[in-house]
Amino acid sequence: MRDADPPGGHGHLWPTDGATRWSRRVLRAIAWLIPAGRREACLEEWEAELWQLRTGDVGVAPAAAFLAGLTIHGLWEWKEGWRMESIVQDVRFAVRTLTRSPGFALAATLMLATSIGASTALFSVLEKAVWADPRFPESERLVVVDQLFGQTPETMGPARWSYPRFRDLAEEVTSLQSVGGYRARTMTLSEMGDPAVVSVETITPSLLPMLGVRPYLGRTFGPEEEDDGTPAMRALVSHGFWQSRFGGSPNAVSAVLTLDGLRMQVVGVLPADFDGITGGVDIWVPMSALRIIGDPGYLEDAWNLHFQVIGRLRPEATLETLRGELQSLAARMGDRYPAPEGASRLLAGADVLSYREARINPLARASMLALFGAVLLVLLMATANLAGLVMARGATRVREAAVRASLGAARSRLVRQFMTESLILALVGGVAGIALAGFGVNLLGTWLSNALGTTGGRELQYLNPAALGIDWTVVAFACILTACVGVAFGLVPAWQGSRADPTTAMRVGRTQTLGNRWSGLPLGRNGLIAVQVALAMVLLSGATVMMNGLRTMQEVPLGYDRENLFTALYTLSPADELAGIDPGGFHTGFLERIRAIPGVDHATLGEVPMGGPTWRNLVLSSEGRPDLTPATHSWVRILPVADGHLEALGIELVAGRGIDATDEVNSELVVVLNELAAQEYFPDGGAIGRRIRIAWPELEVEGARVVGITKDAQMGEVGAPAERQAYVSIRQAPRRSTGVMIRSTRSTADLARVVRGALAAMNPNTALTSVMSMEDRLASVTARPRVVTAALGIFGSVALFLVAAGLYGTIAFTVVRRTRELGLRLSLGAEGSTVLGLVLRQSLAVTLLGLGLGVAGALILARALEGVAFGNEPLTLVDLLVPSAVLFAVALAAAWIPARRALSIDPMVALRTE
Amino acid sequence: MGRFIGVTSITILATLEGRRCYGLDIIDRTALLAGTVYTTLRRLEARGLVTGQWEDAVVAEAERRPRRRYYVLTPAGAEELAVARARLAGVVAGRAEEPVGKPRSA
Repeated sequence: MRDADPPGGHGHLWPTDGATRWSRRVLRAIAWLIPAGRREACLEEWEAELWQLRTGDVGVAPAAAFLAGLTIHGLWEWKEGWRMESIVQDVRFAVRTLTRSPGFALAATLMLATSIGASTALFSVLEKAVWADPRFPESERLVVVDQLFGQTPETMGPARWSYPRFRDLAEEVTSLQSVGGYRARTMTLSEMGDPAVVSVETITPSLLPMLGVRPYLGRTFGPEEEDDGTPAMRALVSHGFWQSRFGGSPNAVSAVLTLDGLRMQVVGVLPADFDGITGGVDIWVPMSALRIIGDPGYLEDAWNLHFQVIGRLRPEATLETLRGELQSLAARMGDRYPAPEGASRLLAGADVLSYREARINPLARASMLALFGAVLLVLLMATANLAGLVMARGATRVREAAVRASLGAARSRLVRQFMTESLILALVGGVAGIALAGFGVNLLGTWLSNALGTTGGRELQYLNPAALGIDWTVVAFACILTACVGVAFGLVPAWQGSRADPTTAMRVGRTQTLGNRWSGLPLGRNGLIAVQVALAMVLLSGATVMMNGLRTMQEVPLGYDRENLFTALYTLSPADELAGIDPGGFHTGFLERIRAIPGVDHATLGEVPMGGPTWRNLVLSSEGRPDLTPATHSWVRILPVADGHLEALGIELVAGRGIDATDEVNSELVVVLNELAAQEYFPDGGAIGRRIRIAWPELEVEGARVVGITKDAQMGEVGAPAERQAYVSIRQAPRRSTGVMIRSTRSTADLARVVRGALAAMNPNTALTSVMSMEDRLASVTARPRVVTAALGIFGSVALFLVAAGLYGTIAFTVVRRTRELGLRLSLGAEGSTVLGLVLRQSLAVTLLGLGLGVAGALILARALEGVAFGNEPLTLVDLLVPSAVLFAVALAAAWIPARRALSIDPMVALRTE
Repeated sequence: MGRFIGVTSITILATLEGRRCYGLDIIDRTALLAGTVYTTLRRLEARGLVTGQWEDAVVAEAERRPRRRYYVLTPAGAEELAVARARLAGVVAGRAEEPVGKPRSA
C-alpha cells in the first residue's frame, strides 16, 4: 500500500565484514516469506534498519535479535498470506481438476487408502502389543524375575519359582517394591449344566495391586488370602465371565462357584480390559488354594518350581542393582534349600528382564516388525507411483502452469495449487485408510494373536485382541503418514510446475514437454520406477525366504503319522481323587470305552504331540552308565502312555517291545526309551533288559527295566532339537491329566461328540479339552510363519501390480510425448522392430537398474528375516532368480502394450498434430 | 473495526504521537521485540491507524544511508489512541466494564 517505487541508486556503503554479509543473506531469505507483492518494499525497509544496526557501534547481538524478530514476523506474514480466500479457491480448483480425471483420482485414492489403512492397522497392533502395555500403569517399571539353574554356567536356563523361594524374594530383595506370582491352569466348572473348562490363574494376593489392577466390583485378594497354612477358597471373576455367567448381576460378589469339585466364593469382578497376565483368563484363585487344588506340598517344597514371578522396581532402583541383589539371594537360597537327591550340583542364579521385553516372543516381535516394514515399503511404492502419475500429469500441465504464470500467478501460488491437489488426494485416501484400519484392526488382531501365540515358557500374554482399536495415537499416526505422503508426492510436481518458464512452455507444442528425450522429467519418473522395481524385488524375495522356511518346516520328520489322528486332553480333578477315583483305573476304563467306538482303528492315552501334558525329570542312574552321577545327570521327557501307543501313533519300534497290556500295576516296572535316550544311557548298546532310575515317584527307588527302543518322535514344537524320551505305563505311573489319541477316518467333530459321551458316562465332572485333529495342531504351529509368508506374498503382489502400472504409465507417456519423432522415423522408413526396440529399451534399462538395487535390498532383508523364517536357510541364487524373472516378465509386458501403440502411429497424423 | 486495541498497539500509537518513527526507532523507544513491532505495525496499517511513508531519497543520499520508511499516525489512529487512553484511565481508576484488549462484541 502507498508504496512509492524505491529510487534506483543508493549513495550508501555496506560494511564488508562477514557478520554483515551473513545478516543480509538471512534477511533476504526471510523476505521470501512475505507475499510477492510486498516483498521488495519490506526488504528495502529492513535493509535500511539492518544497515543502521551494522554501521552503529553496537556489536552483533542487536542485529541477531533483529533478525530473529523478523523471522517470527515473516512467519506471521506467511500464515496471513495463506489465510486469504485463495485457499478456498485453491481447493475448489483442485477438486475441479481432480473430478475432470476421475480415473486418476480413484486410482490414487484406492492406492493410498489401502496402503495407509494397512500401515495404520499394523501400527495399532504394534503400539498396543510391542511398544507398550496400556493395561498397567508405569509398565516400564515391571520386571520378570527368573531363577536360573544348570549344571554349567553355559547351560543355565530359566526356571520357575516355588512358594518358599518366592517368600524369600519378597522379603529380602529391596530393589523390588513388590512382587507377584502367577500360574495359568485350566479347571472344570461344574455347577450348572455341562461341565465347562475355564481358564484360571492362581495368583499371589500381591499380584493385582502390584500391576495396578483395581476391582470393577467387590475387592481383589488381600491379606485374608495370604497363605497361612489353610487354603483360601475364594475367587475373582473376569468382566466377561461375570457378564455371561451372572448376567452382570451385582449379586455375583459372594456367589459360589464349583471348580474342580471344590466350592469357591466370588469376592470380586475385575475390569473389562484385564483378562489376566496370560490372557483369556475367566477366574483367579489365590495361590493358597493350591494346598487343595495342587499336589500336596505344593507350597512347602522349595524344589516344587511351579509359578512365574513379576515384580515392580522401586523408582530409584535399576535392573543392575536388582540383578546384583538377586545373585546374592540365589547364593543364600542355595545354602538354605539343600537340593533333592540328584540335583546337588546344580548351579543357581537369577535373572531379570523388563516386562516389556519379556512380554513379546522375539519371533513374534521380529515377525510383526517385518510385516510393518513390508507395509511401509508398499506405502512408499504407492507414494512413488503417485508422484510418477502426478508428474506425468504435471508434465502435460506445464503449459497450464505457464499460462497461469504468465497471467501473473505468483510462483508460491502455483506451488500451493499443486500441493493442494496432492493434499486433497492424500486426505481422501487417509480418511478412507483410517476407516479401513478400523475395520481391519480387530481382524488383524485376532489373526495375529492366534498365529503368534504366547511367549512360550513365561506364559505372558502379549496381545489382547479386545484391547485393539483405533485410538488417538493411531489416528495421529495416520494423519502424520497422510500428511507426509501428501507432501511427498505433491512436492515434486509442485516444484516442476512452478519452474515453468512461460515463454519456453508456450512455445513448445501440445504433445511435447520441456527437456530433451531422456533427460529432465522422464529421468525422475524412470528413477521412481527403478525404486519400485527394487522394492518389489525385496518383498518378493522376502516371501520366497519365508516360503522356503515353511517348506523346510513341513518336511521335518515328525516320527509319527499325522494323518487321521484325533487328539484331545482331559484332567481328573483333585476332588475326584478325594472321592476315591483312581486315575490309573479311570484311564484304563475310559480307553476300553473309546476302543469300542465303531470306526476307531487305534486308540491310546499319553502326551499329545505339541499338546501336552508334558513332564520332564532327571535320570538318576543307569546300569549302562556307571559313570552317571548326580552331577552329570540329564533330563528326560517322561511319557506315561497306554498300551498300543506306538501302533496308534505310528512310531517305529527299533528293538524289543512297546508298553503293552501286561504292564499292570503289580507287574514289574518297565520303560521304553527312544534311540537318543538309549544311546545316552546305554552307550555300549544292549539297553534291553537292563535297569534305569528316574526321578519320578514310581521309578525313583527301584528303577525300571528297559523293554524296548523306539525311533525319536517329535513331541514338542516342530524343529525343536530331538529330546531323550522314556515311555512308561500309564497304569504303573498314572497322572491325573492325559491326552487321548484316536486313529480313525471319522471326522473330528463326530469323534469329539462320541468321546465326550464316553467321558461323561464315566465321570460327568470331567471335560474334554483341546480337541483338534493332529493336522490342525501342526497347522496352528505353522500359523505364524504362514501369516508372515502370506502377508509378504500379498504385499509383493501389490508391489508387482504397482510396478506394472507405473511402467505402463511411463512408457505410454513416453510414446505419446514422442509421437512426432516416432512418426517421423516410421515415415522415413525405420523398421517396426527398431522403433519397438527403441521404446522397450527404456523400460528394460529401468527394470535392470531396479533389479540390481533390489538384489542388494533382498540380501539385507534375508539377514533381517533370520530368526523369523524357519531353518535360517541362506538366500540362494534361485531364490533371487525367480522373483527377478517374474518382475522382468511383468515389466516387459507392461511396456509392450504402449510400445505396440508406437508402431501403429500414422506418420501423417503424427506430423499433423502440430 | 469494532475492536479494542491491545496494550502493544497503544504503546506504538503513543510512540508515534506527534512524531514520525522508523521501525528500529520504535523498537528502541518501546523496548518491544522486532517481531512484535513489525507484526503490530502491519496490523495497525491494515486498520488505517498508522501509515508508512518512504523518506525522501535526497535526504537519505545526503546522509549516505539507505532511505528509511517512517510511520505516522493517521487521524483515525489519533482518535483510537484518545479512546484507548480514556479506557486505560478508567481501568486504572477501577471503572472499567471490560478488560483492556478484549474484543468488543459490536
